[in-house]
Amino acid sequence: MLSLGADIREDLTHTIINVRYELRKHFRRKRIILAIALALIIPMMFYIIPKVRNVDFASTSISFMSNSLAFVSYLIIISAAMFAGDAVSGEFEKRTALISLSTPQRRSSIFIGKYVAALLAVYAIIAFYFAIVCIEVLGVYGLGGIPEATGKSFLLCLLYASAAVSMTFFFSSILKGVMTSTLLSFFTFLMILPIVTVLLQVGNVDPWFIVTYSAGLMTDVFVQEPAFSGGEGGRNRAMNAFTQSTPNFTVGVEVMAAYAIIMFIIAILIAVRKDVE
Amino acid sequence: MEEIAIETRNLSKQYSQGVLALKDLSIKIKRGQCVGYLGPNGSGKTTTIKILTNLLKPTSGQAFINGIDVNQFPKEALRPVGSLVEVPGIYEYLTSHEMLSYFGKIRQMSSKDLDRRIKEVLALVKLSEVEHKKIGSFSTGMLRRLAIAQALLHDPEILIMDEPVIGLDPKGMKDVRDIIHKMLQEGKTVFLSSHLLNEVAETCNDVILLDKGVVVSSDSVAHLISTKKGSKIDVSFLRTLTEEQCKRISSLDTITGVEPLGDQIRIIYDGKPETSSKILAQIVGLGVDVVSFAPQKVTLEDVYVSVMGDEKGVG
Amino acid sequence: MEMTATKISVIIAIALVSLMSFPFATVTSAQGPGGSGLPDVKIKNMSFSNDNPNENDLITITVIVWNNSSKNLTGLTVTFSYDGTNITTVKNISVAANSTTSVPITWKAVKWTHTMAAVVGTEKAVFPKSAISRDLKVNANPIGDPWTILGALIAVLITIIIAVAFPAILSSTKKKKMG
Repeated sequence: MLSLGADIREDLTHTIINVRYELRKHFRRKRIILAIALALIIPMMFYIIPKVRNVDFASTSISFMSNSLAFVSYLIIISAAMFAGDAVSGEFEKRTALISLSTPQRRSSIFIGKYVAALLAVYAIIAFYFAIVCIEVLGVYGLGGIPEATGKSFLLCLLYASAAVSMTFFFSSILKGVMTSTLLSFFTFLMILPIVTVLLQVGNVDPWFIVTYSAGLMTDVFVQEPAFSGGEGGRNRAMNAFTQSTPNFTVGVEVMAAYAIIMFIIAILIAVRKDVE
Repeated sequence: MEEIAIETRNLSKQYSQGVLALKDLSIKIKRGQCVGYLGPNGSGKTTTIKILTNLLKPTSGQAFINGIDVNQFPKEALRPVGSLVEVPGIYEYLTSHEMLSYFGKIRQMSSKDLDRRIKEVLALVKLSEVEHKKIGSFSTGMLRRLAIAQALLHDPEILIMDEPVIGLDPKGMKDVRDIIHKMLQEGKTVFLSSHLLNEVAETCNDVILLDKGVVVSSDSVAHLISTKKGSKIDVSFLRTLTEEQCKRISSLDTITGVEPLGDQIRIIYDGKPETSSKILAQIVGLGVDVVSFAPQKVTLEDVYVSVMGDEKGVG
Repeated sequence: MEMTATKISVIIAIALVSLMSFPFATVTSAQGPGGSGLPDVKIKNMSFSNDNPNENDLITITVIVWNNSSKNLTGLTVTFSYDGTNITTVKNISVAANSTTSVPITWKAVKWTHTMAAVVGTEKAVFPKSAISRDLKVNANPIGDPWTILGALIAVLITIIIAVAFPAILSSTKKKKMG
């Protein structure tokens, strides 16, 4: 029997092996092409369309950045569903668990490895997206055009991605089918949670605990005055109402971190106890 | 080193649907033995093997490999084990080499040893030419052989296999038999379930017969066969027997049963050589022309059928 | 008879107006520019202690109230607002005849551009023509700091590391218990 230190080192080694092989799987599958295509095409549209239509770009690089990043949350959700949707359910549905789980490695090493690999894959897609947008900003606004808040926005995207991957991983651990877990993840982030957010706001309840609400911080960090019109008082009344519905920064960060951590822990606890029937 | 390689103590497993697959199962398999695990469909064979390989948690009881509780300390218990359970899925995006590398690295094999051993096991299962081909393109037989290669990669002390020859052609089956014989010569332990009784009889020293999660018989193959009552003689005649002749043969006091076998009959008797001689004399004495008189060896299938009953298939 | 009734009506009306105007006797004694009876008072100027404040800065908004009449005025109020929302009303302001007085307030700046306004009045009414307004742009504070986000990401990483190590620790405890 190994000593505690040797045991932990071995578990870490197993986890890293599983990360590497899972990343190999992600990068050999066709779905990576879809993710890369989205990460390339979406930001490029914000450059190509003004050029083609011969209209001016946004007046400030902050506006351009904020507009270009408006859809990054969709990319995160799609990538999380693609890379984490089959992390647990896939092993059981495809029966590869019959080999992988009968080896001298902890189940936690296998599933944590899959989780980390999904996380890294989504992070890579986000980094690619940001790289494209930054290149465009440099092209349009020159050196020094990249707003200071870009770093914060990028980190917030990584945090939101962690929450999205954890939720998807959780669905993958409780459901038997890959398709079901992937679709549930899509619907939860794209429909269910946003609808719940609006309903809470209609009922005058602050939806601070909904992770998709906190995701608004990803673009909110690009602080810029909204362009409303409406005469004296009208414009700013509208703005004030708008600013009241954006999440509090610290609370938003804490909510995203909580989703990422809690959903991950629950998912692992379920996955390691699943029988291969 | 433990003398008992594999052991279960009062092992029970009830599935969530209420099905009781195993009931207080206690078996012991000594080091260096090859034990066949037989039983009809749903008897609990695969459930036992899955518990021994940490794929299922028992409802109660324990399973041990080399004295280590599999479910409490699976990492340690499964180190010396190579296993093949049911028909596992494939990593279609990996090549054979990559898949075996994965399992080798998990087992902390060094790169040098791993490369050499991958080539050896692929040669053993006749897959050398597809070492760098993606598994997604393999046939069923190739996948099975690759799964066997994975089980043998680290030269395990204990081999646990569930229906190892499914999907293999006769040559492939012979190859698996040869691998098992080689392992036994090296003092390894093999525990396998199969529905091919002839394969089990040729490969295994001992068999455990399981029915509804309970052991109904556990003994060496040789002993089971030798103590099997009701041996058979296949008799063929020059001319087809008349009904009268059949009745007279059936009523002989040395014969316990008669089964028609096309243009032959199969006589069931007590298995003693003197009885066999007396039966021949009695049949000839009835004026029937005997062409061949062939006492049949008792097979494991005969034992199985007599223990389990005719209505229970092997599976 | 008619003449007498009319006279009586006029007298009653004057008496009523005089009674209602009594608190403003000192104010309404002057004629306003419109000849409406309102005092000739207006806000001459509005200034800010900081013309480009940041969100949540405390700035002083100062208005100059100008009494253009020949009577001293007391009991005036100045109501401050932004975008139509009341900030505060300063009461009991006195301005001597033909002179000015400055009325300052402190305001915690709210982000974005706002129309700051002030109007003179009394406790019962305002004098719309005395009003002044001016736009003020307040810079929004940057939202959040990157260290908070990094801290959250590190917390996620630490959770993953603990998840890797925890089963080994649990197993070690089990082994010790079993001796």
